Amino acid sequence: MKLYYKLFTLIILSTALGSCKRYLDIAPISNQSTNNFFKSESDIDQALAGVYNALLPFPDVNNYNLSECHTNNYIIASVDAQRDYFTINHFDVTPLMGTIEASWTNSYKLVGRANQILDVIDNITFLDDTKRLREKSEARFLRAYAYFELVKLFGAVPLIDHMVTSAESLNYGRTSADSIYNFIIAELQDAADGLPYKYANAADAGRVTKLAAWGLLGKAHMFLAGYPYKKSDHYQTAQTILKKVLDQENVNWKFAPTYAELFKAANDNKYHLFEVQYIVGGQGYGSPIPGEVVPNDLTTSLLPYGVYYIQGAPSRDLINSYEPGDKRMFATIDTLYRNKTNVWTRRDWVRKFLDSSVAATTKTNSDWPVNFPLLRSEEVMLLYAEAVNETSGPTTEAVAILNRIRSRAGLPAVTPANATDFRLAMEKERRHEFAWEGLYWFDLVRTNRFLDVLNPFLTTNYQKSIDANKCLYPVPQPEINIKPGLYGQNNGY
Amino acid sequence: MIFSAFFAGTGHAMLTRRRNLQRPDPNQLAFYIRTGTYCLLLLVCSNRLLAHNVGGQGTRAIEQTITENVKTDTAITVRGVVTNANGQPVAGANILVKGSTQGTTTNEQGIYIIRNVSPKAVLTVSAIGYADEVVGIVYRTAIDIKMERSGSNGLDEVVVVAYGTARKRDLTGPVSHIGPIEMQDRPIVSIDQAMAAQLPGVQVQAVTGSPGTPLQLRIRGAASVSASNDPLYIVDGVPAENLQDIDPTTIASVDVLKDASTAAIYGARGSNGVVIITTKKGTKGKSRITASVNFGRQTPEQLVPMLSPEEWIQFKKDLIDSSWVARGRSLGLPYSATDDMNYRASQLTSPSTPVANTHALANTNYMYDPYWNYGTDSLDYVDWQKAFYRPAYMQRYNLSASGGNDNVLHMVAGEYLNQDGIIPASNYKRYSFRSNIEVKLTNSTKIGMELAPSVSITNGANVDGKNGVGAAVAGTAPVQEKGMGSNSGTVGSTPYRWVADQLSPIFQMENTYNNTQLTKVLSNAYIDTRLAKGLNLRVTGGWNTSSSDYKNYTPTSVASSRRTDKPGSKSTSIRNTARNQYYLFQSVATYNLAVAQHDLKLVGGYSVEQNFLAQTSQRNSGFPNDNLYTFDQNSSTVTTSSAFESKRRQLSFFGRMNYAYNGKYLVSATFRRDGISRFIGKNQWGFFPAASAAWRISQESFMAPLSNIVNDLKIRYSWGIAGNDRIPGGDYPAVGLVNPTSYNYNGALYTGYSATSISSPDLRWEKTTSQNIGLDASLLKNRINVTLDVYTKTTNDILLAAPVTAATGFSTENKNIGSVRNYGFEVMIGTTNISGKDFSWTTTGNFSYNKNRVIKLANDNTPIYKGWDNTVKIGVDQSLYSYFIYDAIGVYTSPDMLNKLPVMSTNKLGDPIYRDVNGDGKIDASDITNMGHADPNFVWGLTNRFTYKNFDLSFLLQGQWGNQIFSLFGRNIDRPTTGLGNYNAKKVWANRFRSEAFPGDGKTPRIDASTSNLYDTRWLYNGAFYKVKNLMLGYTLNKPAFLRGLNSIRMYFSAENIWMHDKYDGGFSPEAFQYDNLADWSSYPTTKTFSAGINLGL
Repeated sequence: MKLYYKLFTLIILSTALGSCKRYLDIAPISNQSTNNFFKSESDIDQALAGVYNALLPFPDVNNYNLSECHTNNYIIASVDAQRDYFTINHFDVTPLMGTIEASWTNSYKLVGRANQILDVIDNITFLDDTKRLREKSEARFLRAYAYFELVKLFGAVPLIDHMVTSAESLNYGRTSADSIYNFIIAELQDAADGLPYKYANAADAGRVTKLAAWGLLGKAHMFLAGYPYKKSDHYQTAQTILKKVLDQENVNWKFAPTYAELFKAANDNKYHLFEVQYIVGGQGYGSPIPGEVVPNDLTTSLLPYGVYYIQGAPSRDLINSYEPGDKRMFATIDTLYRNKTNVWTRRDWVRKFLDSSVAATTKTNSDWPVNFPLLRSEEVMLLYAEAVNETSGPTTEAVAILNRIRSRAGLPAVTPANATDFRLAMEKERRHEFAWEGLYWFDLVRTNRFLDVLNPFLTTNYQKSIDANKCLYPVPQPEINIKPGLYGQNNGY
Repeated sequence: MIFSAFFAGTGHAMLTRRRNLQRPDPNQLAFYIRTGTYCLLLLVCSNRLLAHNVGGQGTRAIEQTITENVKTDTAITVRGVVTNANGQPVAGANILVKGSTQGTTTNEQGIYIIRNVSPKAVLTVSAIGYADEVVGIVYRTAIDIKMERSGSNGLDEVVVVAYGTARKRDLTGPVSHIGPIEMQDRPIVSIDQAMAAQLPGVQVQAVTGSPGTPLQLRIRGAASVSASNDPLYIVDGVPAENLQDIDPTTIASVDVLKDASTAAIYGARGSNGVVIITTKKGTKGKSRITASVNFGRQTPEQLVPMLSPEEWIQFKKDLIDSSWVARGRSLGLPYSATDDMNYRASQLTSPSTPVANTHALANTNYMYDPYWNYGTDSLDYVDWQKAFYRPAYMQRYNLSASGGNDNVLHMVAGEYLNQDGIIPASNYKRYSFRSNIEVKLTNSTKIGMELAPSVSITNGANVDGKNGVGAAVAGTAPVQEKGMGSNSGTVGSTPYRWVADQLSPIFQMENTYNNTQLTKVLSNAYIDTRLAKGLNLRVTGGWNTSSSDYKNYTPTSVASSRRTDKPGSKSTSIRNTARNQYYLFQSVATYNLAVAQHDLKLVGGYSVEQNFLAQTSQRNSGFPNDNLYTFDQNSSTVTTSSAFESKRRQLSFFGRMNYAYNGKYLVSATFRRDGISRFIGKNQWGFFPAASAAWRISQESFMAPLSNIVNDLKIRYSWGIAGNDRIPGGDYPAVGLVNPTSYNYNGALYTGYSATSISSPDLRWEKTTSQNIGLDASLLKNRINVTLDVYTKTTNDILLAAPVTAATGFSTENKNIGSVRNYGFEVMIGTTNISGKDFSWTTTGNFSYNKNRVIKLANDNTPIYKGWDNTVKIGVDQSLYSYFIYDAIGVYTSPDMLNKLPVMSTNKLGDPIYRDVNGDGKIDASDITNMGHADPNFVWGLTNRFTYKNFDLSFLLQGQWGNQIFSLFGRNIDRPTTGLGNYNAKKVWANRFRSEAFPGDGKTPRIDASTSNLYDTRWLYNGAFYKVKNLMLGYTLNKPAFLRGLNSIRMYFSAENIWMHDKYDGGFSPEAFQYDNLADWSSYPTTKTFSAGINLGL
């Protein structure tokens, strides 16, 4: 009996000892790890969807909070303690604000995911090399898009074009804005070469196209030509590239007959050159945008799950700036609404993207199946006209483009007398055409009009004014804190 | 010579120099027996009892005389009663004949009989909760034995240490112990509740009052940031996740190993201390059956003071006026707060449909409710906290049987607990069983099995935390539409338009089905065999399994409030299951050798462990109706569906050596080598040594003159290293994981994947090195027992999900980032104040001081920011969790103050004044300063216990101070601009700044203060409190005349948390402190419980 126990124990003991090395090496069961993923063509297909996925928060953070709210399009007169957009609207931005950090990290998350693909894609066997080139180009476009957002918001930022460890990342300080633009331009040129005009398979709609890459490339040249870089030779380059997009009209893109239909869920992937794809379902793939600048007691038939944000309104400054008869105004803004008790009430609000036909399908207050345009053909048209004006003055071609946009909006043609008049006409046109799409703040900076336009507004409403340092946002303090001295702060913060 | 002194007087002389006692004649038999409290000297000469003396270090006399008669050595039968100091019988006491296997156990009346025993033999009597007694038979046939309760300082008390037991007198490291006396009859559902305030150096926080939820234990302060600060729990030798669902009445003792010297043998998991739970075992003798019932009534301990409905209306009016003026500003119109409602209505009028100044149609953003003038005639006023929290009842029934014979020992217990929560529709039920069986196979081999299955069923939605119902209840506006009251927000109700259209939390709780069933089995089986003299081997197989089944059903009426959706259409249902399987295989060999003055004990062993977790989750939405909450594919839509599994393993080798010379000099050394699958490559293995030594000074001859004062004195020193591997990141914290990150192309979801965590192959153990100097003393005839410990505990390589530059593509990485030191001291004092025949009074107190400092951080001591909006800064030379916020010191109540005091550029009249910390004449971010820390410096507990005849009374006081509570819940209800008065606000807002003429209390700013997006000390509360934790009155009667067949009956009344003094009004309890230990997000209120019960012994 006793002997039996002793033997038994000895056997168990020796077995356990013998296998101890292998015993402790356990791979994750329910997750793939970076050690075994990113190895095959289908892995790359899926990883690329992961890069696109990183775009989902961009419209809310960059286009709404950091662009529209940072202009005279938006006003919050009463104190809202809860949200950063109040502080942004009052130009009291601090480096500690969560929205600033979110914008920075969202962009680098996209960059990191793209780098993960781009580091390995050349070594992976694809059935079709064209597809590999295309996917590589998609990743490079998306990475360039993220850098474009970063450089517009923060100026110089760290330039990381491959995977880095946390220790390695501490060797990368801020790269000058010029170099970032050069990188973006080079990347977009290459990406455009590898991308198709259109995807043969309808199931691929929503992916990046050659036109999107050209359009963004032209836009990058326009920004480099504008304030504060003022490299005006880029107007010519921009003009050439943007023209290539315009030449594809009615071949690979269409000009929408009416303005309002551009922002309807039914017309997703129909008119715009590049859109963030949102779908309904309550799983976090929907858009929060439609419920953002609307009254909190808006009738539930329009807003079944309530507002996403609850304060602020389009400014009277914006509303009063519309010319009489501009069809875009009521496609963008309303000054009356029906509340939950069916009382028609006066309050200014943004109705663009609030597509009543899909309201009933939403599952949460941020679950709208309405895509958000990141690049519209109208913008390419207007940027082209602007580039022409900068190189050759208000030519017939440039004015015709301007009036084509105006005419769709139900407005009479204009004839700017000189380049300066054209610029002002363009500023107004872009403000109305792209209101609440997140372009306005960057337009004001690019054209160096932000002080002239915003200071009167800020003085009237908030008894304050800003200086030129405010053309950039501060580098997020949490990033600076990680290694003091690695990233300097922007002037004025 | 010595005997002259001995025989002097009445034969009850004192013996002072016992070491000099010599046996005068070989025929004389001298017993010198030292028991726990007194000495007994007996001399027997030539079979004749010459004298007996009782005294020595104790003065208690045995109250018996023995006639001087000659005895023979013929075996005799001895019987008697074992009683406690109050004369009550001690049931289940073990009586062993020293040096033999002969023995017995007392029955319920405390009676024992031993047959066939030598008249010269010596009996050892032991019972749980009492100090051992040693009694010589000395030819007596009737020996009644009185046993002394062991307080927490009884030197002969056996405490459980890693892989074995030790007498308290032999301990070389800091171990705290509580026995059944500290736990009995409290209205508690888990043992951690009984540990609060009882153990020095152990802080037990009731972070939630939610029934069945484990509490938070911290042993000697927190050292980790991201890794767990929870101690390791060992239940009967097998590690357990927590102490949930273990019936506290089956627990015999709780022992806490506090430093690395005692815990290092648990290696990788020892650095936060180890809590060893030992359950009751069967003892020899007739089976004893005990039955007990307990009934209790619970009410909230304290609520949060909020605005009354009248105060809220005034507050809401001010907010409306403020919005009105702001609207004017944004439209460029000169609106004023004094504009009347008709004017406002005209300004808000649309050309086609005018806004009327009526209750039904007024614009709620800018106009008052006309009904406010009529009060409760037209509106319902609701005190939501009073309506929501309600008295709740609990009942518990226990039945146990234990006993045994020479071959089999058993202890079988069952429990049924039914505790209603103080929130509607919440309830906790538990059925638990325990069976501890040990069988003697041969003289050298025993096998045993300990099995504890339990089922617990929890009903009730999530109350704790940011999105919990607790926060919602306090914040729900106190004014509702007439007749709607607590029905507000339900289907068919009329919403009150001036407040958030919020569903009544009462309705929500009553109509949401939220049920968790947790089935657990804790089990282990062992073979214990003596391989050779002194050499023992115990092989244990442990298996713990728990499986939880969570069901949630939110009907349309809750999901979509009062909208007219078809029943079922907006309903959602969740099913989550989790299955945890843990096994342990462990072999431990022990070797004891006692030669002359040398006493050597060796322990060596190894163990293999694995933990496997499997989870599934499914969420469905859209049901045909609200009648059934179960779902299938046809009747509803699957929103999410997932399955998850993970596994971890551990291999360990360990050993310990204890050596004692002459009971005076004690040394101990342990080691452990642990390998764990959580880390990679060479970082998998860690080595954890420890050593300790103690010197019992009182045993030295030079202490003899003091022996009347100092009965026992020991100093000890210990050193050791223990580890911590409990890092966030599940079982694979070092691996870069890839998770789904999908996107849709053309409206169809396409599953994508991305790396969501960064690979950290260099991740290694967090290691804590601790040193402890301690002193144990028993003074003044053992009436005073003192334990004193001074320690430092340095944790290196602390694990943190540390922020990394976003340029990596990630936000955090699991890293070893620095060192934290905790140091402090602990005092435990137990005194016997009065010890009379009818009346006794004992006091036990403990007091702990702990200070916590960060001593080193990675990247050249770069501070790390954590917490909500970086309000917590981890920096060198400060406490680990320090709050860096503005110091609010008042309100700018006059233009003069604005002109003269330092200001922020945005400051206006009525804004809070922040302290100009750097004295530069302006307030900016550089004035954010260290305003205190989250961990208390002092924690104390004090128990007084009185007995008078059959009555006993005890009360337990508890307190702490030195900590600050940062309450984000407090902040939410303390910023009017949050939600624009759609919710209720803290009471202080009744005394807010209104104007220079009405400045309020000088601390509460104006309603739309411009700095309310900043963080200041208005939301940092002093966490100090002291309270009466427990008060108990009991009455025990043996063999009651009124009921034959009953051996004993005990009736008691016990009250928990009856009174508290604190300054905390930012949440429900100064102990409720969650969210990574960094802020209170509101919690399930802790409860006051009054309970009564009866225990029967059959």
